[in-house]
Amino acid sequence: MSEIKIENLNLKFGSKTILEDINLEIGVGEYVGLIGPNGAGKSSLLKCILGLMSPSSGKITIHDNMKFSYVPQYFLGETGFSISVLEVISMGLANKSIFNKSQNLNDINSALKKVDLKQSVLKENFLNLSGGQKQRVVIARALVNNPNFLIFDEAFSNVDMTTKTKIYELLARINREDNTTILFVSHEVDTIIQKCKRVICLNKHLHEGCHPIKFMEGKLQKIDNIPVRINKIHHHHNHEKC
Amino acid sequence: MLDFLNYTFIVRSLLVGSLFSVFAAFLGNFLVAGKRANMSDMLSHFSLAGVGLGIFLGGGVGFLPIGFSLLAGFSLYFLSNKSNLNKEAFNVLILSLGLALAIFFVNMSPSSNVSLETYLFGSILTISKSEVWMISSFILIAFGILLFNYQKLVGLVFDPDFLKSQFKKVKKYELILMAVTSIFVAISLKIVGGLLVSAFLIISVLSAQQISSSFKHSILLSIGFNLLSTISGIILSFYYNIPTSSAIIFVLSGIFILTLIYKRYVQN
Repeated sequence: MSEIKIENLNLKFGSKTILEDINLEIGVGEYVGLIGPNGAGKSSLLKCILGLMSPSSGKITIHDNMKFSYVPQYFLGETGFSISVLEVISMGLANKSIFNKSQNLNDINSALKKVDLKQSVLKENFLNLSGGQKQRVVIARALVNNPNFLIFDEAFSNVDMTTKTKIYELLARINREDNTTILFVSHEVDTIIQKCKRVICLNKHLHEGCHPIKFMEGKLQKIDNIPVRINKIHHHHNHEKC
Repeated sequence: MLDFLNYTFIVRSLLVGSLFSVFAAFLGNFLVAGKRANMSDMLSHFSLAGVGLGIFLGGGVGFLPIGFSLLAGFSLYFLSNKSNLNKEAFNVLILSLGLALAIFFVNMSPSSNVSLETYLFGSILTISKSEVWMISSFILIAFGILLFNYQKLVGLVFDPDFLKSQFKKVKKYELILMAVTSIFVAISLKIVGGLLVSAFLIISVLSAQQISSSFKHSILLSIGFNLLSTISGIILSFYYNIPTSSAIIFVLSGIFILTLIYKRYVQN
């Protein structure tokens, strides 16, 4: 059963094409990695899926019971305003009644547990946390409403390798234990290959089944032992040799 | 010592000033956190055009400033949603246009009893009984609306994309915030004046930000700072015969400096 099905999606800003002829299906419980160079349209594709942006044409079908959640690339930049961890995670409960305090607190505590944070962190100012802790809090915010589809837009510029590895493990565990579908977006090809069961390469078009490392190096050769599924046959262009 | 309480106009201005400053601080946190701080300046200057038109037409200002303020607020909302308009630059355009219209109308009008100056600098000590009722009821209703939608408004100002991904009807909250801010700024003209209303929305929030650890904490601190400044400002202006708005803003700025010192030498 597929949770989301994208058919012939195109996105244009004026005369500039951002995404072209995207066809993609993601099934329940999948852990999909999405890679592509800067400006490949990764964030735009996520925004279309989340309904933050409307595609110029094409169709996105989303399963009825689907509950999306989202870990954005940037949250509270340098001009950040004081906000406690509790308040950040509570944003994930904007749909719930504020009068159901004890249930909400239970949900918050179980989300904290999933990301290995202690309850004492709830009172702290989000701005004073380390990069890794911030990332965990934002993941907890995404998990607090028990989503079945998590979109993770990676921004690990100020997170060290150990923390990154732990966060990757955390995502893998959420995928395994809660059967949460994950769409993971990253620049870091190596991790995507290690962690994701399926990798999609995006550069305006989708190139699924090509070798991700070669793709990121700009060499779009066909790799013999991986079945190639070409989403777009582009004449006079090396895309067809994904 | 408390002889100023024998004057009805002082008591009235203390009551209105307190209610006004509490709400201004509350609303100000949403504006600053959502990077909408200069919107209040734009709205206040454009409402002055409403005052100008009122003076030109004769027969009082009435609800014209509210109408103009809402018009400016909604044009900002719709234009910035529909195009890649730079909000900050557009704010400056509306602000200048508002002031230009105000001066134009006043200049064109035959002699009038209402002076534009009252609305530029405010006149909290001359507030009438009916104005007290109007301002108080608006503030109480607006407080109710914002508190009822508190959680969603926090999401909206800190991370609108996340809120949209969770909850489709985000526009409604954007409009609520815009409408409440527009009306509030317009009714503040008489109290603190179009040139100074932003100070009430922003300075105490800026001070609270130096030492607060959460959004709620920042709200409570800024409410405290605003209340303290308004009450002490009114009393100071009574005893030393200085303009009330100036006195209040001097105290607000003093508090800001103290919070900077506190942050630098005590908290760290």
